Amino acid sequence: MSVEPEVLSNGSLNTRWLRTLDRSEMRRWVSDVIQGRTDVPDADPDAPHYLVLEAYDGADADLRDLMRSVVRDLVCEMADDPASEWRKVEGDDSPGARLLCVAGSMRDSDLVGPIRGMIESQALLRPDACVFTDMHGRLLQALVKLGVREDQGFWRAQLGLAPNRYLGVALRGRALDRDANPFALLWAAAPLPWDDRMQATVERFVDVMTNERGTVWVTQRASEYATLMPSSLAERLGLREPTANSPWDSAPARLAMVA
Amino acid sequence: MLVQMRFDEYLGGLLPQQQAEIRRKLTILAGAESGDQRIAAGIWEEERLFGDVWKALCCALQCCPEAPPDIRAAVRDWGRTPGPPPYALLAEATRVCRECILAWCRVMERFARWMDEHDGVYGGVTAAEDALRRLVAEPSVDVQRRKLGNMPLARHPMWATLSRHDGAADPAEALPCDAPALGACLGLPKAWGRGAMLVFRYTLPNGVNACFPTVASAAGMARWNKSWRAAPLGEPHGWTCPRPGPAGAAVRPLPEVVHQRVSADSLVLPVLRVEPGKAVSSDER
Repeated sequence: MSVEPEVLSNGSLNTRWLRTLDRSEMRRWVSDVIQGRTDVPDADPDAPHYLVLEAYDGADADLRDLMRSVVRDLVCEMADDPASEWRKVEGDDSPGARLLCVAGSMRDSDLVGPIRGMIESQALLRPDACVFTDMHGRLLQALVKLGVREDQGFWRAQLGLAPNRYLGVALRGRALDRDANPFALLWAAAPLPWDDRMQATVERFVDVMTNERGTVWVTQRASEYATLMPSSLAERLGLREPTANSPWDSAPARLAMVA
Repeated sequence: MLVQMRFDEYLGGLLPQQQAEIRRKLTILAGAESGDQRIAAGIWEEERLFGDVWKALCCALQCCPEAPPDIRAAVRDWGRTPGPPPYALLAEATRVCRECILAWCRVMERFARWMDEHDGVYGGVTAAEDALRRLVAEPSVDVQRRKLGNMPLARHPMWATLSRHDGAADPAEALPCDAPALGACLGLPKAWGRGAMLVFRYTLPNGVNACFPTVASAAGMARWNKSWRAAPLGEPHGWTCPRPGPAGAAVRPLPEVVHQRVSADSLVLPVLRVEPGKAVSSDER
């Protein structure tokens, strides 16, 4: 049985209505929204779970506690039950991936255990996953949002599972440790099948870290590995003159170097 | 060969008891809330879908229980039937040419969340919002495209507008410079115009076609698209169904098409930021 939400005249959710819900009603409402079963006009058709996150952002402490505990229950159900509906994928739709986005954004430290467990078991890893159905990737993102510092070996292993899918989250995760050099991941893994998508990811990472920690932090770390980066990337990051060649530019040399 | 037909034409070929059951369920849907009424009416009015698509709808309606939420779910699942192509995009092709520049709008705050979820490089929505602000201030579409990479702009089929269907014209020239008025012209939910909106301008890559919006495209959204209407036969494309805008705003229907999702690789002009009350763009408008 669904819970019918109260909607304001501009089509947005009446967040005061949320405060009237008991725990089981809140659980049903959160489940319905994340699974795309909502008739609130303001909901984003591509990402219905934003409705939950926006309500959470605007909620008082009590309501936040309730919402967090409900999401925690759902994630634990996903972790404990291999037949859970949250593990299902249909086409490019995965409510479980959206649930994990919500869980990560709520930053509930009680979720570290279940999330770490699902990552280690690789129970949600799917080779054919796309950005909308990649639950393993969402677990990694949630771990980073929860501020869990993992060592180079952990991120190297994740990167080895799907280099161009997990490079962004691995760099970001490694950067949680301010003393670490996340760029070391670029070749520390098995030979990375370098492509434009990975280059764009590294550029985005550099952009974000420059904004957060400053040019010196980024340049010091990136320059340590400039000679080993693909020359197009090193040039774009301003670490090398355009004419230089890198071992990365030749596949056999790259393989030999990594080996 | 695919033949376009109205729903009642297809229904006429079924057994009387099957027809009665399907009509009864659509009548129940039409008696429910206003969004359901629009979809039920749209099913009877639609002229651009094919027999196989109607057949799938009839099967879905026959299998579902008679409660309005179940009928609603059956019609929604029909609209989302996975492709290729999904029924949402299986309609007569529009006359929109390949060079045509399309525009698609999204709430800026939500696009920042979207970026954050893409590959995890931002580590949180605050960093993604900062990055998005810098991206929108960037004047070069090449740089914007490179920074966004191959990020899909949406998950579902996208509803886009355009200014002319037979050439490459900037669709932003025809768009209001104020977020609430823009949302009203496009028929977007009123709440979407309360903050900044982004306008993405792109051409369709090979293999992605601009289709007429149909009742299947409207039904397949995560919630009903209540601002949908069928384009009259003979039109080169569909038209938006505007809702009343803010006082004094010139609100009018705009050309509209539906197409399979595209990624940021397809951008051809810089992303525009449209604020409530003003427009801030990275290029000269």
